[in-house]
Amino acid sequence: MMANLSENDRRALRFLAISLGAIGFLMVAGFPAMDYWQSLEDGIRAKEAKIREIDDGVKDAADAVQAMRKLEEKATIYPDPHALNEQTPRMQIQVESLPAYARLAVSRVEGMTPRREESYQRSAVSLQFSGSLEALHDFLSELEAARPQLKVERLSITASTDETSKSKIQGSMVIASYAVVIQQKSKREAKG
Amino acid sequence: MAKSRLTIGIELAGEEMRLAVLENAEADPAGHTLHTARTVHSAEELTRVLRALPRRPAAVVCAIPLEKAAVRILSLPPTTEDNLDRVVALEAESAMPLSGEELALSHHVLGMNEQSRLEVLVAAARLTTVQEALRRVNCMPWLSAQVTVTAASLVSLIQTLPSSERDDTCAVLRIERDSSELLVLERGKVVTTQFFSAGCGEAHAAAEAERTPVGAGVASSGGAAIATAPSSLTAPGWIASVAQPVRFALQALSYERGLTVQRLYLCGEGATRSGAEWHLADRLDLTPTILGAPAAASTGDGGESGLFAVAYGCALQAAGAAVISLNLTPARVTVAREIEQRRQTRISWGALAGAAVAAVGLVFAGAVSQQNRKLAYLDQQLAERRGISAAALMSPADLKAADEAVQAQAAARVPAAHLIATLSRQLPEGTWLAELSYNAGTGSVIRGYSLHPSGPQRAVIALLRQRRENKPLFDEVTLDYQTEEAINSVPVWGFQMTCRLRPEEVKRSRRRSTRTGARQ
Repeated sequence: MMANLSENDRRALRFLAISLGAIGFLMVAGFPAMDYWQSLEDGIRAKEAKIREIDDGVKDAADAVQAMRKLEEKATIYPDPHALNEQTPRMQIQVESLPAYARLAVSRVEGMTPRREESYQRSAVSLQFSGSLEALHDFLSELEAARPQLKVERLSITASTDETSKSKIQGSMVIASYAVVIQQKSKREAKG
Repeated sequence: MAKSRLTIGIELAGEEMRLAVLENAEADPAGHTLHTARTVHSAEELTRVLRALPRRPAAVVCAIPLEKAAVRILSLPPTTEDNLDRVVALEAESAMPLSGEELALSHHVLGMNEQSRLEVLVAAARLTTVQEALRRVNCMPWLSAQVTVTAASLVSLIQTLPSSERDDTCAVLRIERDSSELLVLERGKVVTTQFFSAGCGEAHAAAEAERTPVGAGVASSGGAAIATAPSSLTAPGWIASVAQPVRFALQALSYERGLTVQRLYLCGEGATRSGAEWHLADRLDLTPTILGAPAAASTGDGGESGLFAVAYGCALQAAGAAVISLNLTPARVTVAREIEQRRQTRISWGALAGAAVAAVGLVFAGAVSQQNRKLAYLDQQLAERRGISAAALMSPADLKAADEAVQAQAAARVPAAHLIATLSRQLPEGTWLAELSYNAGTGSVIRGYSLHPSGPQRAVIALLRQRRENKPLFDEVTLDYQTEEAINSVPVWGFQMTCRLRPEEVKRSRRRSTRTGARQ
């Protein structure tokens, strides 16, 4: 049968056979090889991303530790939002533990309602006291140097009118402190 | 640069092959220059020479000697061109001295003679001889040589000589080691070709020496003169054995056809022997002229041009510049060779494609291996990090934001302790505090007494001069009032000062409005 074919027909058949062979080779070997290559590339990309994520996490953790140390000087840090309720009593304990506190005659201590802000909580106590101006100055200095930081928001003092106790003063003050709750990473940042 | 092509002529002379490579510009096929002329002794050497050429030759023609072929001029009845092949084949069987085996034939029409018969120059050789010649010459797969006879090559060479060097009747004597050939031409037309078994080799010289002892020669030629002649003047033994049949042939031609050879050309190995020309001239009464290839660009044989006359003629035929082109290669042999060449080409392309596929496969395999190694390395890196947990911590950005927010709230520009210390130090003598109201964000209101009427003003000035961290302690200090009073019948001046702190935004807007007012 092949002998009856002309040279052109034979050439066309040869071309057809080569084309079919090339297509078959692509189907059998070419495309699977490309798929395999693609899977390797995907695997490498995924693992590189995972390693990068871990490395970024480690770096973030180091940065976070450093930032937390800095924050701890200014505010009390709680791991749980429920622990915020402890803030006012803790603060009272902190204030009362200051050495100059004992030199003032504190007649009333009142805890004020905590105020929740976006990234922190403010707690405050109100104090009514009497004593010497020197003792008050020492107490205020110790308050401002305390860690976590305490802030005197308002102070009102009046000199005693009593002739016998000229150096005595009486007054009230509002002391504030701050607390931060450590939260899990925000979703947006985790994705980034 | 003009394109040029190479053509090769090869003379098969015994075991050796003489090679002449012609270079001719494609634009001018008639202009030839001899590129190379050299002798090779084996197919391997020939292969090396061919590979050393700057490009593949366009055509190759090799010549077999008359010892293995025959050339005849046939006188045939006029016939058509199509029929000529058959007529020649029929006539050649009886005219040619070769018999028994299949013949390879080639012919060239010389023209009509006076009897209105067609004169045809016919060359013939045994097919086995032709195939043997092709087997020797076709040493490369891409080579497809033609086979001709030495006589035809010499005719081609003679035709390239300048007309001043061409006589009406001339003869070419080709002397080789074991044989000689004589070709006689009249006005460029082949008259006769003859083959002699005498050559210039050692065997012929020895045989001649045995036939004519030296003593006999001396006695017959007058001993004194010959005895004192220098040895170089003594003719070599082979001269006589070659000259004698040539002289007889030329005399026979003279008797039979009345042709007198006017010039004798000499070529072949015999032409390179010293003194051959004048020894032959002495015996043939003709002064031979060396017929050779023009000076070669690079010859391997020291410019012995007579040696390459036939090869040069063959190269001319290969270049298509031959007057008589005889090709003994049977068409079927050529076709078979071409089919084989095409098959070789296909195999070569197939091998190339296979090699390319294999190379691509290897490169791919290498790349895959590299990717796998990278993957393994990444797995190892992941394994090393498996124990690390960076979760359960607030992000540094959130912590920083919280820190900044707390800082903004917790910082006080004038701390209460600092205010009390400042007032204690800076209030003038005779001035004391009665009441202090402090707010960390806005400032303070101070009420007090002074024994001197200027005490409150001096207190204001003193507070205005106070600086903390290179900034004024208060943005504004004003004396609200000053009244004369008496405490326990002691006249004193009561006063009230307001020390204000403005938030940064308010200060900035005030500065802006002040500048605008100044411009207006």
